[in-house]
Amino acid sequence: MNSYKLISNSFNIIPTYMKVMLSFIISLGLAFVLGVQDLYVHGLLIGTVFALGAIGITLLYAIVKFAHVAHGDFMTLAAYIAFPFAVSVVKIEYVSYADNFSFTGLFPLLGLDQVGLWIFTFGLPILLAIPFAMIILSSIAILLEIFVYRKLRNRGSSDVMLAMSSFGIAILLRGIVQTIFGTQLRSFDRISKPFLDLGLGIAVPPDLIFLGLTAIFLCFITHYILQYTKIGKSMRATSDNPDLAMVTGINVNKVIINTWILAACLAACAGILVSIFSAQFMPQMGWKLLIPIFAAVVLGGVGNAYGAFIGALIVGISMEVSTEYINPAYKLAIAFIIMLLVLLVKPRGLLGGKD
Amino acid sequence: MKKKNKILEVNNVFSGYGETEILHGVSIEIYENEIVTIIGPNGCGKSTLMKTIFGLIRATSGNIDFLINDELTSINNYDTENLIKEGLSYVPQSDNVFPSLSIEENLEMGSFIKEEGMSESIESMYDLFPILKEKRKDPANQLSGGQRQMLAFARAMMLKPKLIILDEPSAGLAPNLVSSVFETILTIHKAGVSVLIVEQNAKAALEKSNRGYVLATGENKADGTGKNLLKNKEIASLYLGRK
Repeated sequence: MNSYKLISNSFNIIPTYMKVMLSFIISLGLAFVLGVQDLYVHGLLIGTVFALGAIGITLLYAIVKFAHVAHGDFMTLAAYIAFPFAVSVVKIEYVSYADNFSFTGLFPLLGLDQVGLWIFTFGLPILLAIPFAMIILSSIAILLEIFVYRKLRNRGSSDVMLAMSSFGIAILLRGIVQTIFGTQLRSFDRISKPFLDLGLGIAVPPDLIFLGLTAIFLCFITHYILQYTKIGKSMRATSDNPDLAMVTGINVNKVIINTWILAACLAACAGILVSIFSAQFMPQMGWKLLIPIFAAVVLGGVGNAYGAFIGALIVGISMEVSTEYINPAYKLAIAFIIMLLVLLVKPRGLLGGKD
Repeated sequence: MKKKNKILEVNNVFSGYGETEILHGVSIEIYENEIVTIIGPNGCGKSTLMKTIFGLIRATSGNIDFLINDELTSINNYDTENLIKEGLSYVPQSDNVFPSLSIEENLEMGSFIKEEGMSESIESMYDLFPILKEKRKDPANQLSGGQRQMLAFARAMMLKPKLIILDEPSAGLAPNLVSSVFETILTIHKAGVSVLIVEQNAKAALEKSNRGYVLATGENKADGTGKNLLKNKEIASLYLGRK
């Protein structure tokens, strides 16, 4: 009897979620041993925000069948949509005009508190910007689907052509942001707040906890939609077999629109959450986020939403923990090394993706 | 004996893909509670006929009429969703279940366009195929080939169609499973549905059928009761591989 096979088979009967839980408990224990538990928790929380982007990209891949490169710029756009909400003075600086002008931000006009909500550095207005950004980004996504991607699909474009066209859209969106808001660093109004000491040598900024909890809440809502609602089931069915979905009476175009709305809403949230945490943002922000997010998508298995979530946590944790040992400038490289190592062992990603 | 109602009439239909015409005037008809089989060699247009009836390809000329509100109505321009609503159902040849969805979710997809009465329908499918109830929470990719066909048929039965179209239901199955698939077809037929089968496995299908049609090069070659077609020497030698 082949003992290796026996061991690997007995490992295979452990359900996937148990393996995932075990891996996280073991790696957290390891982090304590190495004294990097603080960075581990930071990375975990940042990873949840990567997950918002990664789930959107992976769902789009599963249903619309191409890598949506403009996803990062969706996030950038969301941050800039929130901008007029969350500053007391909006400065608009046209690139080509000598005269700039500024006006009072939207919420001071209404007399709303700007900053320092409870233990957080930010205020209520920016949270109110989230649904607003969701609506605008969903509308943009729907328009792009109807006037660009669907037309290309109907002409039989390959997935590479679609990905390239979304690359063009990415540059277009960034150009629009730069034209309106300029290319410089921007920041929301905020006041500084102390870190929250969680004990055991872990101290995190309260904003980061807000970030993580909000992102996990949204992931949970996405899970609920996918598993238990008619919209989610039709999305999974279409991703399984679009031809069969069609002869079953599922309107595949409607399913695709729903997927765009879900992905755009998650991207809107991710963009605003990241810009809250990093305190600054600029037109290249989303583009840079795209790299760890794609690493997370591939790591978890392309087309698998749960894989994307797990992949994003792993990428977030490994990027943060690596800064203990090497120059933080190499963070992204670490994400990619982990991704490559996993793919050498499991080519379809950790949780297995779609073909 | 009461004369049976005609539920589908395909009259002199021409159809094909783009410039390529595949059907050159095919006519078939199906009456209530019948099993009808269409046989013919590869490339004779069987699948094209299925797709044309189900609105996946448009007929370039000819009429397709379906029994809607007790009247034969032209369905030439109906889209898939409306055809399903009016009681037509289609099971593709392969990949006819959603592999990552559970058995129950697969059945739910069967009544996607009309949710009322869904749970009763699911229960009646479980009564018809108890094995599916046992595995209701399992993903469909864990089913055996024969069980998959069962699930595919059950999914197509969810909205209680008048006519169910099966595209080569025994294709790709192990020989010992073929007879169980035809048992399944008789089961759904007993539940009061007319069945139109397109088959390569002509003998097994004709044995279970009331009537059959033979197609060749996009035209009707012969028709008759299943038994008569099986007895017909010319057909037997040409299409059933016997002398």
